[in-house]
Parts: sequence; C-alpha cells; structure tokens
Amino acid sequence: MKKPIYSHLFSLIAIAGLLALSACGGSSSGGSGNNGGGGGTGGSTANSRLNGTYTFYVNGLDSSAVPYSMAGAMTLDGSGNITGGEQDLFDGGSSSVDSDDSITSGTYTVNSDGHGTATLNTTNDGTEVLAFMVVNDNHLLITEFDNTATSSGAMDMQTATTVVPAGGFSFTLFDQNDSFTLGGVLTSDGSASFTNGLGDQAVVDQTSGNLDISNNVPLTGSFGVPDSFGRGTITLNDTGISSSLQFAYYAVGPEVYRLVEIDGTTAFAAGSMYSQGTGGALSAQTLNGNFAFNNFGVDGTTIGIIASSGEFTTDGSALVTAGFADVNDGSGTAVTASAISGAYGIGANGRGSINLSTTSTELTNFAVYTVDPALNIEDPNNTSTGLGGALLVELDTAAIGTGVAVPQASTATLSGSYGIGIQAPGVNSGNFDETDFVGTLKASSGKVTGTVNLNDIGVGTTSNLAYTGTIGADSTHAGRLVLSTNTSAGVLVDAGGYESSAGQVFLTSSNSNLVATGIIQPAAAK
Amino acid sequence: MKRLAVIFCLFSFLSLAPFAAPSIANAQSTAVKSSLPVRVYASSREVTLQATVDQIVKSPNKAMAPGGHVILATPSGRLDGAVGPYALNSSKNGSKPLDLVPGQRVTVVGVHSTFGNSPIFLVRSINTGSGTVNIRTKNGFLINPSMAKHTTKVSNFGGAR
Repeated sequence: MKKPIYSHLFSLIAIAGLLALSACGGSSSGGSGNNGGGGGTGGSTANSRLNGTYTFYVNGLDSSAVPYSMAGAMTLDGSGNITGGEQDLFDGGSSSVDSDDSITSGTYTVNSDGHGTATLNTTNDGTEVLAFMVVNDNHLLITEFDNTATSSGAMDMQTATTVVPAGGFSFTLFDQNDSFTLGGVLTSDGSASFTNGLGDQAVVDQTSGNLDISNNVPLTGSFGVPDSFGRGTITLNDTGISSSLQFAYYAVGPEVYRLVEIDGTTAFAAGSMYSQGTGGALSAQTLNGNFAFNNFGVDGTTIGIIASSGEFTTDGSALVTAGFADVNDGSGTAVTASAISGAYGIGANGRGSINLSTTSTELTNFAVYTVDPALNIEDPNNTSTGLGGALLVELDTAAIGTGVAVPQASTATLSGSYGIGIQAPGVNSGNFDETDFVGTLKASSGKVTGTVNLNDIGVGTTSNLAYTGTIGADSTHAGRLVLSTNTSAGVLVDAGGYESSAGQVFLTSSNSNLVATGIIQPAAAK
Repeated sequence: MKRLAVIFCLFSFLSLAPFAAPSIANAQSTAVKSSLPVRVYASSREVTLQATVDQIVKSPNKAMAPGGHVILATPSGRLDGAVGPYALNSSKNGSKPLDLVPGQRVTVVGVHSTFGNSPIFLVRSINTGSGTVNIRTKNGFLINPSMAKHTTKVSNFGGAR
C-alpha cells in the first residue's frame, strides 16, 4: 500500500509558490491530509461532461519516494458522483500489490475551464484524490493529488467492457524501481492466448550488476475475460528473464489496454498495449514521414532519471533523415534541439528498430512497435487526428525507458485552450522526490496563462496555482516550441516542445535543475 | 521472493531467429556512437581511486548536483563524489548503506563527469576496507535500495534487431 507521507519536494526550481500562494489565488494543503476539492451533487454544471465509465492509469512516486503505478476504471454519473469502480496498484519498494481493489464511491468536480478533482473511496487503499484536466469529454490528463502519492497519467472513456484483445498488438512496459523495460508484439487468438510474441528488453542483472539488453525475446501469454469494469488478467511468459509477469489489464476499448503488474515478485512494471490494426503486413512504410516523440526512463547521470522529446523524419524505407531532440538528464545542462539522424526498419510483424547517430545525447538505440494507423496513442477515443505512430523502448547501456512516436503534420505555435500535464521526478535536499501538476493552458499571441493543481509529494498539494508565461516557435528548428512558465514565486517549468498533428505537444524541461516530462493537448471548448 | 534464472542454452538458437528489419538498421545499431557525452556514465571511462573522505554533504546547495556528496581528498586534489539520492539518505527505504566519516580511507570506483560546468565524480562503488557499497550498477544506473529484492537475469538472445 502507499505509505504515509514522509518527505518533501518540490523542486529546486520553483514552486516555493507554496509559500506565496495566496498571491496567486491558490491554496495549499501543506501536506496535511487529502485535498479533494469537494464535488458531489449540486456542483458545477461542468460535471455533466463526465458521464460513463472511464479507464485510468498513473505512474509516479509514493510518499516514501518509491515508484508506484496504478490502473483502474471508475463510473462517473454526470452529476459529480462516482458510483463504482475497481483498481490495481503496486508499490515497488514495499513489494506491495493491491489487486482488484473496489472503488466503492466518490465525488468529482469539473470546473468551467475543465480542470477539477475526484475523490475515490476504495475498500483497501483508503481515500485517493485525483486532479484532472478534461481535454475532451472522453480524455483527461490526471495526477494523484493527495499526500500518499504523486503521479501522472490519463483517463479515457471506456468504450467497451467485455472485449478481449484480438489480433496483433504492440506493447511497452517500464519498471522504474528495478530499471527494467520490455516491449514487444503479440498476436491474440481473441479468446485466451497470445502467440507469436517477440520482444526486446533491458534489465539489470542483480548478480553481475550488468545491464543486460536482449532482442528477439520469445514471448507467449494468456489472458482472462474482463469483468464489468473491463478488468482482466494477463500472464506474459518472458523467456528473457525465464519468468512470468502477471498483469491486471483494463480495457479502454477493443484496441487499447492499460497494464499494471500484480505478481509482486518478478518486477514492478506498467504500460499499455495497443492494437496494430487490420491493415495487413507492416513495413518501414508504416512509419513514414514526420514524427514527434517522447521518452522517459532511467540513466547513469547524477539523479538517474532522463526525459526527452523530439522530432524525426523517415524516408519510408530505411533512414531517419533528420530530426532534433531535447534531453534533460539532471546533469545540470539540458540538451536542446540536438540534431539526430540514423536508420530504422520495421518487420512484417510491426516490430523494428530505430538507431540514431548522435554524440550529444543518450538517445541511440530504440526498439519500435507500430500501432493501428487509425489509432491516436495519446487520446485513444480520438478517431480523427494524430492517428498512427509507434511505441518506443530505449535500449541503451546509458539509458533505458519507454515513449511514443506520433505523426507530425502541424508545426504552428499554439493558440487557444489546452490541457497541460507535467511529471517532474527529482531530488530535493539529497532525497529522491517528485512533483506533478495538471491543469489549463491558454495560449494567445505568444502568451500563456493557466491554472494547475500541483502535488509535491512531501510538501503537499496546491490547488488552483496560477501561472503566466510565453510560448513560441523555435525560429531555427521547425516544429519545436519553446515554453516558459512562472508563478508569482518563480519559475514553474521551462521546456522545449514538439507538436504533433493533433495539436498535442511533447515537453521536456530545459531547466538545469529540474527533470520534467509532459504533454500539452488541445482542450475541447465547452 | 522469486529469483529468475539464466537460461543461456535453451534459447541460444534464437540468435538466428529471423527478423525483418532491413540490414541497414542492423548495421547501424553496431556502428552508432562510440563515445557518450561526458555527463553520462560510461564504463569505458571508469577509474579506481584511493582517497580520504574529507566531507559528507547530505543536503547539497543549489550549485551542486542533486543527491548526496562525498568530498574526497586525492593526491591530485579534492574531488566531488556524487553518490546519488539513496546512499546517504536512504532511511526512506529502511536502510543506510553508506556510513562514512571524515578522515576515512576509501577506494572509490567511478567516472569523472560534469554537472553543468563543474567537474564531478560519479561514484559507482566505495570500499571502506570492511566492505564495498555499490551505489550504481556497472553501467551507472543508481541502485534503489528496494531494487535488489527483485532480481532479474536474462538470457542472451542476440543483439541484432
């Protein structure tokens, strides 16, 4: 279970805003208990935007600075009430798994600008609070917003609860606790079994101390039918570690499943599985054109965390002809718009590789797994923009992690209403810690304003933290944006961003003392 | 706690498993980047040093790299040894693996690196004479005290994708 609060954080950089929030119109819980923000019947009329069962996932740190992940589903009634649900979570350090926990009740509030909070009452894990930003009525950016944990993730309308995976799938998994990452492709028979699995992984051998990177790892597995909340279980037989990984899965719909490991012994991994579609044989042509990407993982620098984002262009056959990447690894100097190029290939099963040539970043070797060209990876119920792309697993001796690559067709600067979510793991006074926030971003004529709910685990939650800033196109690197944000207390986060065709932007902090990864997504007007 | 076994032989044939990525990608995977940026831990640059502990810094100032520091006196001068967030302040995870005092003689293994524009020594292990404390894996990843509970080993399936 997630442990009682213990430490501190927010960053070295800014959000000492906790000390001056009244000036921002915000409030802070100061780490004293949950800060749910209310909800329930009779609240904002915007509550009607959320009506149905939603699948959610988050990854972050608990109050003991231990990596945890959680996935689940909950039913919202459109009037501010959570009527039921269930969830699975693990805490890596405590070897604790809370599997199939019931969400018995709860409340939520959606403010008129789309940001809000939800309070979930669970059978085993007590009360949890999520802060969220409604990107559209089917998709939310979320963070856990209480003093037991902080994290970032998403919540999506569940479009089918009784489906089982069928056909070809790609998946990626990341375990921050154990420096373990695994990605691959699988074929589901549509009833109970995965076959033809082939994966790639990196794992620290605890005996030798070496990081072992393996490709062409045979994978098999099985799965059970989902319950009324779209939850089922998956057993993945990973011959690369000669063991089985047990997962709970939660269906978003027939093509997307959120996974959280529940065996409590082999590893502590979480991720997602996406359909490859029904378009037939895949090839390098499947990943042809311009792409924005992100990646998050662990590395061998001072704090051991690396975030990156960028863009690349492929020729449709074998080459990554151009690109740029931002990398922040906590080493005191963020890399911005570093040129990348290289080679790539995609097999008929949708599995392939991207190998970048760069002397300024850790980004070199990636395994890549294509997804359905009709699927939006970051907003699965969006069927019109940002479709296709691939999942990424970084497999370098210097860094490992997971990410995504999404088609990039728009490189304009932002204008209008957006949601923003940031995850900033870091170190404060020597201890490992994390801050997450989620909320609004309004962009107009190069200026940005917004309001976020921020959780600095160990310090406390901060509601309705206002910020201002600037955003603009990088004049020398087409497709790259530069974002700068400040609260009344100082810098919130500065970041480079790469925009995809859906108007969503992958962010990597450029601050010298803050490693942060994040996303901006266009918010539907209501 | 489950320990995962090595199975080198069983799947060795899989190094020949077909994979459809173009040969250029495979060739590239072995040709790219021979040297990492100096800020990144590279085992090829690893050195072993005899030193004396000069100072322990559990809460660094903002000019220093995040995490704990062991300031070392070496024949070539003082060295800022970065030991990460866990080694000196691991009570969160129930243990305190690194207990040093000024004046103590140690042998450190690590890599000369930089934090911003300042030199730093990324410490992988410290031997105090009575034992060795591993702070990073051989490729430089920080060892989370909770990590060792979940031992994993892999087979060698070959590297070409």
